[in-house]
Amino acid sequence: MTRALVVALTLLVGASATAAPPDSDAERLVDGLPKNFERPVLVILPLLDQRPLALPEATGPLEPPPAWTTFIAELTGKANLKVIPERDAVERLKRDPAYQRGLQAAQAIAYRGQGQHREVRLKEAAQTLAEAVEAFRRVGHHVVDPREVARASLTRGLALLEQGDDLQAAAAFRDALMLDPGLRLRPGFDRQETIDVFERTRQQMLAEGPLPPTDSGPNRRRLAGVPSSAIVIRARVVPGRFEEPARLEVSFRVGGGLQEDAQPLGSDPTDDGGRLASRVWSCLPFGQAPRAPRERRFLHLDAGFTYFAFLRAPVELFGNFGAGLSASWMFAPNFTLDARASLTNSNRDREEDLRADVATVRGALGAGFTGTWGRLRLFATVGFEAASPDEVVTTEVAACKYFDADPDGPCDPADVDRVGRAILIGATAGVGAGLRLVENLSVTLRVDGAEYFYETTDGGLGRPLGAQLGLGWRFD
Amino acid sequence: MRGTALLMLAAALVACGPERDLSGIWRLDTCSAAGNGEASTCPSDDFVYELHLGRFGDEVTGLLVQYVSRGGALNSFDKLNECGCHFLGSGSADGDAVHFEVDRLPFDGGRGCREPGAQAPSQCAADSPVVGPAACPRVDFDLRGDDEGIRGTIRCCRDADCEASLAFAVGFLPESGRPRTECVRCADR
Repeated sequence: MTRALVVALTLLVGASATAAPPDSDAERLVDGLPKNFERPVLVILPLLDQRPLALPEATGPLEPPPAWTTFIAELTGKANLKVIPERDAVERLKRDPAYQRGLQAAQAIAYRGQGQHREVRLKEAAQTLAEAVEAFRRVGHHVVDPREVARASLTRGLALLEQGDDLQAAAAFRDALMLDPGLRLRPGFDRQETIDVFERTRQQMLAEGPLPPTDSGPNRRRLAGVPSSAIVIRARVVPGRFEEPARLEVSFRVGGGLQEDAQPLGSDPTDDGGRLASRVWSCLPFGQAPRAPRERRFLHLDAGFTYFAFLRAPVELFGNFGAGLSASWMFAPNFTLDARASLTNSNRDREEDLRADVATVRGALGAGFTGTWGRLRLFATVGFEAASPDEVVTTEVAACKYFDADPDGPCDPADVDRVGRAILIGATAGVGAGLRLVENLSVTLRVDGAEYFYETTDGGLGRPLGAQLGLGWRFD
Repeated sequence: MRGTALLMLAAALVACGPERDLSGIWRLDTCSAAGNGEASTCPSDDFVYELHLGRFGDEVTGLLVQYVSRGGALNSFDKLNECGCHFLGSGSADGDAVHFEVDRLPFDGGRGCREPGAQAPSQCAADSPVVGPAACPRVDFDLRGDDEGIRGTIRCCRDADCEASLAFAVGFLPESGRPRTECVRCADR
């Protein structure tokens, strides 16, 4: 008996555990993410490979270490992330119109600076090239084409050195080597003294261990189609020193804090890249299922022109035109309480059997359903309506349409029918649409009709059908 | 049914239609005897005749008013000018054609107020010009509108069936203003 109870409890606990939400992000990944899951966007900038810094000869970009390829592949494989890889990130930067404009301006400045250097206007050249480098960085060109920016920085260093400012020249060379670690001066072409300063700078960087880039990377706003919440990952490969192997370093900002991590590159690149990717992934936000949009309570007021006709009338159809006001209060998601009022005056029917304008007051109360899709709002309402048309004067005798009723005249007063003001009560229904123009302002079209089931006086008027077109304002 | 209602609703949206065509003021411009050799009986320039028409679908009503011409512009609302006013009866309309009749002699000149409330001018002389013989128990109007005005014939009916009649070809031109809806009564003078 006791054993049976234990087994039952175990099964119960097991069942409860199965039904419980996943405890970790890894479990959530295994369980599968909902279709509309909001994935964090991860932008991976091109790798800064600083290994050529250790090479004595000039060299172009090296093949990225396999660990880097594995690192990207691992992150891309995470279902909860939306990864924008290096090449895509660069393309998005280049698509930004501000980049195109800014690049042209920066290149023009650099061209001017190079010319000043050739003309041995060294001070001006150094100043102009500093501006060029700054302009390049501002548009993110140091990410798109770091070698072009490095050349501008190198020339600036040469100009400074020729001015005798060794300290500033070394700083400019350092900047150039940060962008293009394979950059070298050419013996026989460049002065030996210049090559010495440049090489000393390189050796110093190697000895100290090259510092990570000090700039903040490209502005996320310049990455076309990337949300402002995107996380930008910058990475570099640092050459090994002494007994230390080369390592892959990454840095990114999450929640306002800077996260940095490094992975020594050993003999197993798959393992290195995977380990680093796992550690980075654990620091990233997991993402979330989109919350159902909360429909806040709001009051919508519309005012505009109203036009309607009584489909039931003692004469042919005649229009009624005037002003209308309607209010809709959303008290629960998609559900509204509605009120409407209008004051109209009538036209005449086609043959003018209606002999006097009929002023009509209408008011309605009801409930409605409303849905919003972007700028469009659709709604439907049902409720009760009360209306009060003024006196209705009709005749079918032409003489009474032309002449005043007069026992001595051609219009016999007996040929003119008069029904006094009536009060009508009935049910109403309507549908409508609103299109938001700017902010809370919208244009609204509403079509509604009513059927009266109570009237104080039978004036023959009923079944109004019409529309209201106006402007609306939403009060949140 | 619903389509018909919508069409009628659309019609109601339109303010003016053919049902009001020919409504307005029309002043006699031309008159000639239609083949009976009595052109001299057309009204002289001493009088002005105006039709004040109201058309309501296929019905027509209004007034035929005779004024004394004092030269210059006529003020239709000056009571002193009026010397004959008759209601149009049995009016009908079809397209741009109108028919109506006047059961008193419109062109017989005034003979003074015969009774209180009657429409007759006191200043019209008994020998005022006469269109046709004096004895017309009824005058029929058959007119048709065109681009310039309304034209047609009037017949002075000498019997009930209007078989013995004198016919005149007449033309009326439009006048601006609001059609009159009442005659001046003797009591108003």
